[in-house]
Amino acid sequence: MKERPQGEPQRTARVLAWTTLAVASCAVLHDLLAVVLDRLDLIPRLLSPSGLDVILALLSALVLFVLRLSLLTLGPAILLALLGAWLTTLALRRPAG
Amino acid sequence: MQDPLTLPAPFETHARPSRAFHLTRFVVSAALFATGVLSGPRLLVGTSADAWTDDELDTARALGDAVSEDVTSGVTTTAFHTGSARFDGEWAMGTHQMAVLGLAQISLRHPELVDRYRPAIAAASRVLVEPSTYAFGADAWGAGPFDDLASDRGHAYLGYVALALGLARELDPQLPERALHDALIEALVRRLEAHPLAIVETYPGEAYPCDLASIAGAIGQYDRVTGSDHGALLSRVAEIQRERFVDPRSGYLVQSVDVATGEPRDAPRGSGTALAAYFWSFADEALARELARAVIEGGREDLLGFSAIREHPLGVEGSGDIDSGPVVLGVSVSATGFAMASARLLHDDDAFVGLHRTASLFGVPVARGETTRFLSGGPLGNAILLAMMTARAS
Repeated sequence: MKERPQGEPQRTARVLAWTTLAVASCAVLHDLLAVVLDRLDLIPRLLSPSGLDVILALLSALVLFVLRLSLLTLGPAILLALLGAWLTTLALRRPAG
Repeated sequence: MQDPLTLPAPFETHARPSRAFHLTRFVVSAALFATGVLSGPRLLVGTSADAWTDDELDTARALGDAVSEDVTSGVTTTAFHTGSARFDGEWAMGTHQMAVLGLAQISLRHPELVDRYRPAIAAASRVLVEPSTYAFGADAWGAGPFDDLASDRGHAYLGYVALALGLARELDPQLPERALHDALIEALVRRLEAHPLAIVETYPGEAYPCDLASIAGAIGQYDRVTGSDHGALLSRVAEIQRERFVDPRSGYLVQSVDVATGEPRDAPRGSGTALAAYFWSFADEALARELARAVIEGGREDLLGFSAIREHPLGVEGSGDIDSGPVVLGVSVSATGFAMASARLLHDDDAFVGLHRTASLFGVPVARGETTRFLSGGPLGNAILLAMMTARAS
């Protein structure tokens, strides 16, 4: 299949689309993890004195909160920045020819 | 030199973009990135805060149903894993006490929910008057609290129980546990009066002003529902707390005092102060507001629209314990959760929204059907949050 020529707007749009997909996947993963942890009642076991419970709870809580904090702070920021880059590219470009 | 107001030179789709184009795009992207970091979290987290400040029924019912499920399905000491039988027992008791408080507060605010929560309030009240709930107290005192009611000392944790029964009795004047409620209040009044500084020990040799506040709140609530008058006693207890147990610099309440002399044995603490403010709201509104102001105005840290409460006053270093929960960067989980009631007492919606965002960020609300519970709260955390987020403002 012949590859179509890629201009700057198309490249930026592709990055924006893939990043949106990545952020959305992280959001789904976060929600799934939250539901699983809720069903297993794992997080309150962080207060257990010791044992496998604590390690499991600690790991899952760590993953959940890293995902959560990243999604909330970096997710919208990265998407907004890419959207801005794409719109700027569209606004400042001139058709070829 | 290029005119700065001139737009960057346009580029052909296949041509190499100019440096000005790259610069413009970088500035726009960086500005939007910063806007996203600064505004994203506050727009995405804790979006139900306004619904709580407006006492909206659906929002309160979603958490109320979760807490109701917890207490009707039975929460025992096995639900907790603190590593201490005493703390596990306290937490089981606290879960039922806070559940009754929260569910009763919702029901009083929305009478159409009274029938919905009647079974859960009844179940939790029954647990609160069950002697086996107090194995931790019996271990410490050598006798269970209900076997020891004639004594003039001890079992200050009964203030928590009596306050919950008082709210349940406000909803149902024919509460089956009302005789025991009368006896508890009579015993607690006698114990306060027996000590020159109105100190009642929680455990032998241990006294906590926050627990004393729960006793005062229980007596105030009892007066409200029965028409009794312990106003003079409550005024005396409030004055003692103000003069001896409140840190004059920060306005925080000291966590622990000497049983005989009333001298502080621990530092002033945000978690105890915020919880005591809630308890005092049932007995002495002025003191409740003073304590609430100490945590909301003096102890609050804000960042990007999120708020949290310092466990120790500004300039005082300290770590956390079982009461405060984890202390991170000086702010504690418990103080932040309890302070939502303080914000409601002060009608400070901005503070409530900031605290609620933090509770939502780290509590992780999860919807399950029509209920919503905080993932990291467990039964106790959810019951506490319900009670604090529905605290009655005068």
